[in-house]
Amino acid sequence: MPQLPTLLIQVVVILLVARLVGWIFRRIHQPQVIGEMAAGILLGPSLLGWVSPAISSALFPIESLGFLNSLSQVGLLFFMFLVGMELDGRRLLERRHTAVLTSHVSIIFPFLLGTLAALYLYPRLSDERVKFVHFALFLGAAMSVTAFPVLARILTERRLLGGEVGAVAVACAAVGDVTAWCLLAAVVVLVRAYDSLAPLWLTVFGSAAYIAAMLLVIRRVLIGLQRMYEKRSAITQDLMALILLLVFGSAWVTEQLGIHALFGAFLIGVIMPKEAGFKRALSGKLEDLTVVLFLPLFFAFTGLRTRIGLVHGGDMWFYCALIIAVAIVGKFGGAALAARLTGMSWREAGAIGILMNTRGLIELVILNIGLEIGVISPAVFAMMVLMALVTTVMTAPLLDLIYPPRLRRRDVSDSGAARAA
Amino acid sequence: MKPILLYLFLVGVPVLAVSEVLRAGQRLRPPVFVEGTWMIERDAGAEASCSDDVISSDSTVLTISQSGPHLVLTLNGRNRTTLEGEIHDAKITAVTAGFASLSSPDSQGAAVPEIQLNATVERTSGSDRLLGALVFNPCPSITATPFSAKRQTTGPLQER
Repeated sequence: MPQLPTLLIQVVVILLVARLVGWIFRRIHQPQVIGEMAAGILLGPSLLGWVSPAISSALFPIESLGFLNSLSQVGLLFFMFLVGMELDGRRLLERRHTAVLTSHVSIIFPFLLGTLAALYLYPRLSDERVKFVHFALFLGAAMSVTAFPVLARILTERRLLGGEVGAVAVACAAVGDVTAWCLLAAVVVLVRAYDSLAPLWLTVFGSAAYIAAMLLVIRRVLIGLQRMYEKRSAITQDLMALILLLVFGSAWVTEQLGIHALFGAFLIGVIMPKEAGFKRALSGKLEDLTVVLFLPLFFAFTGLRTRIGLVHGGDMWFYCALIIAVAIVGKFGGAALAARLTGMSWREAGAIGILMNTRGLIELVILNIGLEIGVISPAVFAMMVLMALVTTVMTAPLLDLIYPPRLRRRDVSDSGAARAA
Repeated sequence: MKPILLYLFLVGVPVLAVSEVLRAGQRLRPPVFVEGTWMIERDAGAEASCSDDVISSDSTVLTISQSGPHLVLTLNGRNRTTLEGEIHDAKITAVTAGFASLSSPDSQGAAVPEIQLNATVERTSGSDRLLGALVFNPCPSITATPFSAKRQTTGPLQER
């Protein structure tokens, strides 16, 4: 069967639908990325496959999905590298007290509620293949995620980045991202160690040795790459090739270690030099292709795996509502409470809670990992995809309600005046 | 001092609570795993009956998808029959949810035959088996067709 024409048609249809739904979402004051996530679900069995099974199976034959998956996984490696590059340690240090407490509370609260929910959901939505500990830890980790890239986009669009709330939210999301990925890595290691012959100690010590090598050795190599950029004032093709080699090499090592290829790409992004010109030039080379082409492919692949039809009947919708409620109460409640206790007003703390509750596509990345390693079933996957959509869609309107534009403007001007003084 | 106490209270206490929850959850018993593909064999002595369109005389593939105790079973015999049901302990009960004639696609929308599946999972070393019967209602000739099924593959999640 000619695979290339099928793949090309798939890419064309996915891009068209993603741009169209993204545009519609922009018109209703939602970030484009949420529309693209929704577009993926529309192309899957939940809508297209339900309305027209013939078109769906002609457009996305099962044997072609491997190619689409491989392409979207390569795109995800780029995306996680870019997410890692956005994390700036200096920014975190400026607000370490608020950021560390708020982000850790906003992780542990939903994590605790997620594991408590697992006590109820495990006998109802899992089976004997999956250990309770794995199910509960994964549910906790998936509940505690914040979508750093979507959050940054919302803050930019709402002109909040210059204010106290925006700065604290970005710092919290950054700390939260690193912590949540570490938690998820631990869950993946536990699940894979249980199933594989590779001993757990090998994965743990191998990962620790690899992270140490990245921080002590590879980081210096990367500083050398930045100097090469400064000499030429441009990222040459040779330099780009070296960086891509490092991204793919790091992803390969973490995959071999039994964590996941995405961690390797993320890690190399985290230790990349954060000099503004170098970062901008490198992001400029990768971002458009990743955001415009690869991410919609990933959303489409996720949508093809999402069978909302599995959530049917009163019981299943109740479990779905419970998952969404636990996710919102844990993340919003935890972050808002901690922000309030560190001295912010109730409105500012509420805004922090709403922003941290944004899960976006990072949640989808994590859910796909959970489905791949078999710790969640397709029904739980569908419920949690709905949770990711609901928590992301609610962010912008709730933020406007709790932290209206006049307060945002005052926050930004007060912060600017404080910096000037 | 205050931030440290606050951190210990807001982060340390929930961490302890998580470890307690994980310990408490060890006692939970999840449903038996039956997801995957099973090959149905009609019992040799079974008479020709209303089951002929549902399970062929040679062998029929039964596909089970599972979410906790909730099951969707698809019988790919002469016709494709979908049943929905549940598993409790090792006992499966399911009833018809959909029916499509593979030989004559025009039959979509025709009355769905009422079929009930009752089966038990038997664990032997190395392989799982389903032993049970399909009950047809109404059926003038015979009401129950006994069958056994052998697991062929587990669900897609296990194939890693």
